[in-house]
Amino acid sequence: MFALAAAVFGAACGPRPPRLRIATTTSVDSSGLLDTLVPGFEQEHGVNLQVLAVGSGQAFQLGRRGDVALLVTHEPAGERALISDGLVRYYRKFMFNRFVIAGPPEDPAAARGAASASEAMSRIARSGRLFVSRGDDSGTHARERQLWAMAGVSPQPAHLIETGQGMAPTLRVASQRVAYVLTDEATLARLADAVQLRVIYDNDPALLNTYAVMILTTAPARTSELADRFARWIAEGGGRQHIDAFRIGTRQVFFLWPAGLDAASPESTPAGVRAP
Amino acid sequence: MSAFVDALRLIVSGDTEVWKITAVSLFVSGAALAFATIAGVPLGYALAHARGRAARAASSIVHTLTALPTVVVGLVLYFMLSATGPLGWMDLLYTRLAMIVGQTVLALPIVAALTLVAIQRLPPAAFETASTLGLGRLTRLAVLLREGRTAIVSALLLAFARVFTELGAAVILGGNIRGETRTLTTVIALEHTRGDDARAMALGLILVVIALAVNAGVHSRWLRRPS
Repeated sequence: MFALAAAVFGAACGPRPPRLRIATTTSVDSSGLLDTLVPGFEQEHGVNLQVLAVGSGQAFQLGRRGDVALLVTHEPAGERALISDGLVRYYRKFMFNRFVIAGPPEDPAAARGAASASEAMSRIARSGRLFVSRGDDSGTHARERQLWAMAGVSPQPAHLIETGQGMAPTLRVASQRVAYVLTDEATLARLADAVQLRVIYDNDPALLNTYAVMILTTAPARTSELADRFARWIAEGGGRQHIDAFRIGTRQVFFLWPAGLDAASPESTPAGVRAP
Repeated sequence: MSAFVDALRLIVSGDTEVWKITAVSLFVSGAALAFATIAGVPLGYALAHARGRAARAASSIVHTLTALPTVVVGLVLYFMLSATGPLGWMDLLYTRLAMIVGQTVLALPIVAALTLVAIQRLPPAAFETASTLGLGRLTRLAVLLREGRTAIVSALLLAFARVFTELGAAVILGGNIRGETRTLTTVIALEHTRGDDARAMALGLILVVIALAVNAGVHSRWLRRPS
């Protein structure tokens, strides 16, 4: 009796094969792109695709522990660290877009006139205006720190607000506090009507945001083949059409990795390619 | 106000995903409450009858554990169930069963501690009746539980409210996977993160209505003061 109940219960709770569990960065999920990619892959391949939408930092951790088979991230330095540790079995850049520095429409720090993204950041820091940081080890947060390092200056602690939250709540805080913020353009485009923020600076190769798909050697053996299929689908196969066709309103916010450009190293960027 | 409109629209629009999420929430929390009841009521009863230092220590531990933070329960179980953790071989992480385990851990101390209090607070007459009737152990248990049923039902209600509305353990152990481990609380947090606050509010309304309705329903059936 108890065994029967346990069996029924187990069947009700238990995962249904074949199942592939992946971790993606939050921007891929919150933009809505996943809502077209997941059903697309599931239908073509008859697979139950389970997605954990987390920051890149947490995605790396889940990968290292072997809790997910495949990662989609946008943090080149962290990706390089995994490769150096010999943990990466498959790596491809597959799409890109831009980070943008956003801020109050009046641009009180006069960052618009800067010659580069790092100079814009430096103007913001020196102006004493507020800057809102993700503060969550996400790919966006990593880029923020890189830009501060390039600028050779960072905001006074009193002028830095760390949210520790996703991009959308962070944009809301920035809007509320009349502050500057680094964001991916997809999330800003989706929240354009809800926040009082404008694009302040976006034209610099240092702001290119590149997305990679990778399979780690820690991936559970039984999902390894499925992970291969999904990685190839998104980087070389049917997934490309979904990415290319995806729009927020009428706006394209993700761009396919150009054919012929090095897709195998984290440091590769599509700089020089027509700015999207 | 628009959240109410959105909520009503979601409910009547036949958005099957909302119902699926609601069903997962009820299933997970209901199962956790069932396990916590099966283990917690006898535990509380046994502690109420036990004497001695060990029993007193056990009672205070059970009382103390009612304050376990949900997110810490989630985190500790995550490390145990993770692929490299001691229980990783069970392959439970990011399943409903993992969420049930987490919520059972949260509900069990509440059920046990409040059952213990319920039995202790019974008038001495109840115990005397039970023993003078010369009843067997099980019958005695049934009689005393019946005497204390109001307080025990209220304990179960409190435990259900705690797990049905908690987020910390659910999101860490379930991972908010669509169609699998997405519950009302985890999807509300997700929609807020995604910036879809209207949908978050609408789902929040459904969560509140269910939580209050369960309370009101059980209250009117079991806990109404005699008029």
